[in-house]
Amino acid sequence: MRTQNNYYEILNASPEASALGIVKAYREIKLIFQANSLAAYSLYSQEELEMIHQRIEEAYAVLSNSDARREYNKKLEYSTTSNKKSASKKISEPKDEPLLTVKIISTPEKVHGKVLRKIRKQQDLSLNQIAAKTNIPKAYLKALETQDISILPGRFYLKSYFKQYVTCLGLNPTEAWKKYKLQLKD
Amino acid sequence: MTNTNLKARSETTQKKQPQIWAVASGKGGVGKSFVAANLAMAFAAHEKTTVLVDLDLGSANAHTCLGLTSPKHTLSQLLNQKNKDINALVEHGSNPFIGLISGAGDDFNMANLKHYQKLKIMRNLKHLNADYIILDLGAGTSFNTLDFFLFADQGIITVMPEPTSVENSYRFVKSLLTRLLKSLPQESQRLMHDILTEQKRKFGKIQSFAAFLSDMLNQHPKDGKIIQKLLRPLHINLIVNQVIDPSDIKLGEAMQVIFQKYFALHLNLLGSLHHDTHVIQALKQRQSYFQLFPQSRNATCLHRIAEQLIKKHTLDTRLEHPEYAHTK
Repeated sequence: MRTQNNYYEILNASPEASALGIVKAYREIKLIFQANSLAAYSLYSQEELEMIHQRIEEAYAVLSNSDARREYNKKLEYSTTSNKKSASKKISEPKDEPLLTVKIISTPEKVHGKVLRKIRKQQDLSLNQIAAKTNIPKAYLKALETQDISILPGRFYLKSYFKQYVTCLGLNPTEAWKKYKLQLKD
Repeated sequence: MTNTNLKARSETTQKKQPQIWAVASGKGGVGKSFVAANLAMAFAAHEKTTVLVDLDLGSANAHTCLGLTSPKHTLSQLLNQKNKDINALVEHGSNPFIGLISGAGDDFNMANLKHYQKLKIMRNLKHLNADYIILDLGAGTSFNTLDFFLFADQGIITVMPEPTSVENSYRFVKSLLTRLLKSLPQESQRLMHDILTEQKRKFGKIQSFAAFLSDMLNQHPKDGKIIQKLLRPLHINLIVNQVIDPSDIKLGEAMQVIFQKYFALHLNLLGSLHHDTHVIQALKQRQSYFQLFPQSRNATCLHRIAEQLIKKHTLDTRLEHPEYAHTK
């Protein structure tokens, strides 16, 4: 009936956590749910705490064993991609994969905010998606599109953010930057 | 009730509004007024116009925490006089950036606000000329306290590292959620009741709120989503006050995990304030702690918290209202 939390959620660990990270998360979650824990005792009964500990142990047994963890990740990936709702929670993503799956396009003659926005719309991308992929605050991405670069923290960040942003759009970052820079001077 | 909150809010969303922070705690004596007053001072130290509103009606004392003498104007004037401008009630001390609207007064009925009085206060708060408004709420889980907490843009729960305080702060959140769910459509409430009865039958007691929400989403996705939508504007922050032992700091992180697992809510940790006898000393001198001990560990921490909150708020405002992008 109820969707069971996955092992990472039970340990409150990130799916990308290292082996040491899993041990740390396990220790912390055990402490939080120990019988006399200040934070937990008033919400959970003794039996519930025992049940939680059981599930923590179960999760740790799998995640602390590298083979079992790999196997579990595979299973999880399958179940998350088959379940559309949580498809965004992808486990162990290879790093050299392109940022987002978009069509690679040639750099237009003029590169300025409005053009970038148009390209983004054509590629069917939202600012939120790009922000989530690049870890760049949405306000900054918006600033790149409105060319209101005064709110960016500095010139260095401008270039770096710009390049990451246009890579997501499927443009060649170096070429696009050269043309965008010219626009800024105007 | 929350519907009226929303209505009161949407009326005035067109112009730039002050951000409202409510400070509450389930239990009394954990330092709500101290946190509210000194956070207000910290906002003011960043040159943000801040008004502290003492809504601990019936036992208002925020003026003393701020180091002001007995206030001439009080909130009861707003309720008793017609067309009274709320800005005329703000009292100022030596710092022009900080103002106070006191809840103290001669009216002994203030502690039991009527519904229309509460709405009048909420409506008027939006018209205060300030960047930030901090509401110092009363202890406990009375409807007035809960409604003001839900009305605010951001809520802070103050907690002390001791069992009674933690217990009562959970009780406070449970009451908040119950209050919120009261505004659900009748049909959803009926389905909600069915799920809770089923849980009671199966497990002998009602499970966590997260389990309830998950059941609701699985069995009645439409109504579950309404609940999720209702929870979205709820922003809860935590300050752990009167930390003595270094391990006490861990309480905030532990509560954050529990919030996620039990209430399915994100709890934002603002920081911890240390136990400091200078707080009493400042109160005895009837001066503000923040002003009297600006170099203390707690004042520095509050200064940093205010700085982060201002930064975040500025960024959020820019996103929501690009027309204010150039205002500071």
